[in-house]
Parts: sequence; C-alpha cells; structure tokens
Amino acid sequence: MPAGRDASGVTGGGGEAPSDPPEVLRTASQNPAAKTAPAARASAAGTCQSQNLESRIGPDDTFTAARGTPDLGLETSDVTSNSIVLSAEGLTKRFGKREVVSNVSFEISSGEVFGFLGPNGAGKTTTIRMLVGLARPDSGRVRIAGYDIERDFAKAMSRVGCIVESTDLYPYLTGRENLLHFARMLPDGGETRIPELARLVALDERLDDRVATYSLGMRQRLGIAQALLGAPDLLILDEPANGLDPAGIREIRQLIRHLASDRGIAVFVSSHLLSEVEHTCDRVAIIHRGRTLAMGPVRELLESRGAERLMFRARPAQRAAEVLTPFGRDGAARVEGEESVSSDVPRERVPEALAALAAAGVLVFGVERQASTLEEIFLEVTGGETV
Amino acid sequence: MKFIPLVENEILKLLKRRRFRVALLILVALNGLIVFAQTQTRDRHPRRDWRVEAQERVARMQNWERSGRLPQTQLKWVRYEIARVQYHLDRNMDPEAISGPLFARAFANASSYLLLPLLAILFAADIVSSEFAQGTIKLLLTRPVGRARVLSSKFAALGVAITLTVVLGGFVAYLFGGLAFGYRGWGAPVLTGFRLSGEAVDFSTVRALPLWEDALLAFGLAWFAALTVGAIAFLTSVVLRSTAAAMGTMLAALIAGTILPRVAPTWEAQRYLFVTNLPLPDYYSGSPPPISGMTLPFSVVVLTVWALAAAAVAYGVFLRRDVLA
Repeated sequence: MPAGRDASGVTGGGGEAPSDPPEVLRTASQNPAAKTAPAARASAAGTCQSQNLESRIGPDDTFTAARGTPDLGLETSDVTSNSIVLSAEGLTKRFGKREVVSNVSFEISSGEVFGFLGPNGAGKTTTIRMLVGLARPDSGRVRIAGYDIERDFAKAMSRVGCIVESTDLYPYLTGRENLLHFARMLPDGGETRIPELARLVALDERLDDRVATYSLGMRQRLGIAQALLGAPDLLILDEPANGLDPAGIREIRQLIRHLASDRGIAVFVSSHLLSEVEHTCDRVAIIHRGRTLAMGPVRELLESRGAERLMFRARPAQRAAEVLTPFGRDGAARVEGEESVSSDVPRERVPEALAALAAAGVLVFGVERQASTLEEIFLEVTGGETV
Repeated sequence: MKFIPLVENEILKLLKRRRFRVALLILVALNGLIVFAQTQTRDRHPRRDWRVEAQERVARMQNWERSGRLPQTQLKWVRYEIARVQYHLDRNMDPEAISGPLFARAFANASSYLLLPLLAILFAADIVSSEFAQGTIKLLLTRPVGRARVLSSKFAALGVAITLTVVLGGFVAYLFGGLAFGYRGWGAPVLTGFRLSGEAVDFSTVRALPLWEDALLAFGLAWFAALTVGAIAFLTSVVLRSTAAAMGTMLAALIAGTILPRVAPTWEAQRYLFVTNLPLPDYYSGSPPPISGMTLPFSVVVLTVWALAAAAVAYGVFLRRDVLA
C-alpha cells in the first residue's frame, strides 16, 4: 500500500489481518493445474506459454496458469469457476454534497462477464475509479481476489487489468514500447507475454509503429493487450465499444467472451449500450443516478420482468384481439398489424387461448415468443429515461 | 518490486519526446550563436596589448565611480570589476582571456539563473501533468505499484534528465568555444573568491585554482540550482495538472527573479525566494550577491529548503488526490 493512502474511509472490514490468505485462494480447486505443486507449476510456466501460442482461441487455461507469483505460491487462476474475484460492498462516493454513487454492491466470479449498464452520468465511471483505486470511496470497500484494495493495493492490482474511460496509451511510443512500459510495472515481468498478446489482439504486424499512427480500434485492442499483460484474474473495461465500428465491436465482443469462457477471467464491462451488454454479459446491473436499480443474470432479468409477450399471427386481427384480451395477465391484446396481435398470455393458458380463437372462427397461422429486450427493462426501471 | 525499471520507463518517456530534442537544440543554437557573436566582435575589434586594454578599462571605470552618478546597485559591480581587473593586472594575468575551457566555464555562470532552470522547467512542468492530459495516469496508477513509487520514479528520471542537460550544456559550450578559441587551457589558473565587504573588495579569500577544478565546481552549483527549480516545477506540475499552467507559473517566477533584485534591491525579504538564490556559480567566482548579505551557504540552504518543501507537498497531494481526469 502506498504511503498516505492508509487513512481509509472503509466501513466494516473487521480485524482481518492483511496477510490472511484470501478466501478465494483457499477454495478447493477443480482445475487440474492446481493439483500440481506450485513450484512444479512455476517451472512449467515456460512450456505453458509456448503451448499457448497455438491456442489463441482455444479452451485452455495455460494463459493464466503461466503466471508465477512466487510470493504467494497459490494462484487465483486455479480456483473453481465460481469463486468471487471482485467484490464491491456498499460503495458510496460524494462530490461535495452530491452523492454520485450510492451504496453500490456486487460480486463477480471468475469466468463471468458482468455488465454495468447505465446512462452517461449514472456513476459508472466513478464506480470503476473506486474499483481500481483511482478514487477513494467515502464508504464501502473493494476486494480483488480477496485483497482489500486500500490495504493491499499492489497485491490487489497485480490481479487486475483495466481500461478506464477510453484507451489512453503513450502516442509517441510504439505499441511494443507501450507494452514494455507497462510490463516493467508488473512484479513478474510480462515482457515474455508481449508477442503472444500482440497476436491475440491482432496487432503483431503493427507493434513497432508509433501508437499515434494507430486507428481507434487498434488503440482499443492495444489497451486490452496491456490489460492482459499481467495475466489478470479480473479485467475491467469501461465502455470498450466506444468509438468502434460494428466490426470492431464484434471483435471486442468475441475477445471478451473468449477470455471469460476459455481462460476463466472475470470481466467487468461498463456500457451505456444495451445491445452491447445484452450480447456479451452473463449478468448485468443497471445503475441510474448512482443506485443499482436491478441486477441479475441477463436471461432472468429478461424473463422476470414479465415483459414476455406472444405474437399471434391470426386473421382477422381485430377479432383475435378481442378473444385474447381476457387471457392476458394485464392489459388488452394489441393489434400490431394486419394479421398480428400481441398479448402477454401466460404459457399455461396458451392452449386454452388457441382453442378459444378456433372457436371464434379466427384463423391462426402461428404463435411466436417475443423476448423483451434490456431496452424495455431499462425504460421500465429508470421510469422512461432514455439511455 | 524493483525501482530501476520504473525509472527506466520515465527516462524513456522523457527522451522519446520532442521536448528533449528541443532542449538539446536550444543548447546547441544558443552556444553557437554566442560563440559566433564573440568571434565577430573579436574580428572587428582586434585586441591590442591586453595590458593596455585592461588599464584603460580600469581608468574608465574609476571615472564612473567618481562621477557619483551611478546608482548604488551598479556602483558595487563597478567596484568589484575594478578590483578584479586590477588584481589580475598586478599578477600579470589577462583578465579577459578567452579559450574553449573558459567559455565553458562562463557558460556555467551565465546559464545558472535562466537557461538551465528554463530547461529544467521544460522537463519537469509536464512530467506529471502530461500523464493527466493523455489520460495515461489512469493506467499508471492502476498498476501494482504504489503511488509514492510512481512519483519517486518520476523524480529520479527528472534528476537524470537535468543532470544530462547540464553535462551536455557544458560539453556543447566547450565544443563550440573550443572551435573559436582553442580547446586547450584546462590547467590554466583562475582567480576566484573575490568578496565585496562594504565599500571595499576583500582579497583575502582570493585563490588560484586550475580551471578544470573551478569549472567543475561552477557546473556543480549550476546543476544544483537547476535541480531545485526542477523540484519546484515538478510540484506545480502535480498540483496544476496542466503543462501550460505549470510552465507559465514557473516562467513568471524566473522572470520575477531576474527583475526583483534590480528594481527593488533594498527589499531584504526576497533573499528567501528561490529565484533570487539561483546564480550560485556567480557567488562562487566572487561577484557581489544579488542582495547584500547573501552568501553561498545561505543560498544553498534556502534552495534546499525550497526543494524539499516542494517535494513534500508534491507527494502529499499526489498520494491523496482522487484521479478524475
């Protein structure tokens, strides 16, 4: 911990000694790599890396296992896929009298992509700044891989790679020099990972060009390579899709999924783009005016909001709507087109509804499920404010 | 976590940027210009017998002194200069001798209160603020390295850059001066240590040093002055987080330092300002201090206090402040 940062405004925390092995590390491991002794693994690190060159998009864990943290002898990358990598408890930040972030709490497990969704100015970036120690929370605390970031800043940060608000690297240095620069700031020297990471983000050809000549997408990818230098357990990406073209967005999306699914990295993604979060994340939290309004797995959130509607392809539509209205949970069935009627008929009453339609002489050509989008949920929870 | 790689990073960032090359260019251009100007004067006014010239000069200055029209500040310079030239004459030494090594020695004096501090400011003013401007501060401070270490590495790199500048400045001055006036003469004796006490000049402390030793001391003092200015500029860079603002502040301070002793020589409190204390090599060669009563140890202490205080405040601010850039 850097001097002068110990006057923490952290609530809770108890009397736990900083040197306690974090909870996460003690968890029994199902990862085969964890069964070998730490020393043996460390010596195998070299081979792991060379294998990894071929496994750019492959389901293996060698990438994370390749890291050697000799001071610990244990590695969080070896823990089971549902161990908690990041936990934020009751984060609150005030600027003057204004509370920008109010009591925000969440946890992220390894291998999980967590979406942090909210309109601009909702407190996303402030929250991220607190997660990575750039800003000190007025109350609440952050733990990364079990380390409190106020007390064990260096240990906590050695597990994290991040991009906070746009990828800013040194424009007057080359891509390689930038990566070397940040590798030198790591305890175990990430220099050896540079060629591999450059390939992973498809920058190996341009690595010796100055960053000033890079396109925005290339800078973003270089930023991600930088974030991965320390073989982190947690990746924090603030608006990774900002300013990218559709192809770039898809690339980033695939990369995020790959890192989470195949390498077991926990990824925190903030965004104001619903579609972005919906397609990449396992779980989302919706933040608005500094408060979390909803949080849960994307699918659950989509389903639980009751917004699931059915689209009946039937003729005549007007008559179908009349028949369907009593079956709906709430509200009348709506005529959406010449032979389209939407209604929120619950699943168990669909056969009944179809029978009624047939009895009423309505021709039914099909029934489709209309999944609600996060957009609708968002509008619902924020009370109609646009994203 | 090793410290050297961090310093390596910071030096790399300093050297890779245009401003370091600009600083080098300034050193080369300025030295070249001065040497060129001096050769021009020399060619236009070829020297006669240096002894006759020096005697004439003493006589001229004595006239000024007697005329009573000189303001107090200039009077002390005239007295000092008369004493210095006369002292050289008495020992059969040319007071205006010029050679490559002497030119380099003169560079130390001339650059200590403006040029070297200026270059120190050029490096220091953006060493922290540029990270804020580029947004790279967010990466720098989210790596597993404490903020104090990050700042220390920047301090160390600044020290290296300033040292390099002083050394290169001396080297360029010698190179250019030598081109015009010859490269030999490092062993020639230099008279130093004249001291003005009240009305009279005190000769008891005058010593003859070999030029190389004298030059080394002068450059050492110029280096120390530049480091102090660097530390203070570093502070403004941390606090203001804007290179332009930091540069402006420091330049204003430097200019104030060159003007104040001239327009308000009787304002005694200015001896505690860092800018008044910068011409350390001047002291050493014995020219009268900017404000009477100031001595070399006094100035060194004042500068040290300023540098340490600036560093302490810079650390205090940098370690505590939230990064919202």
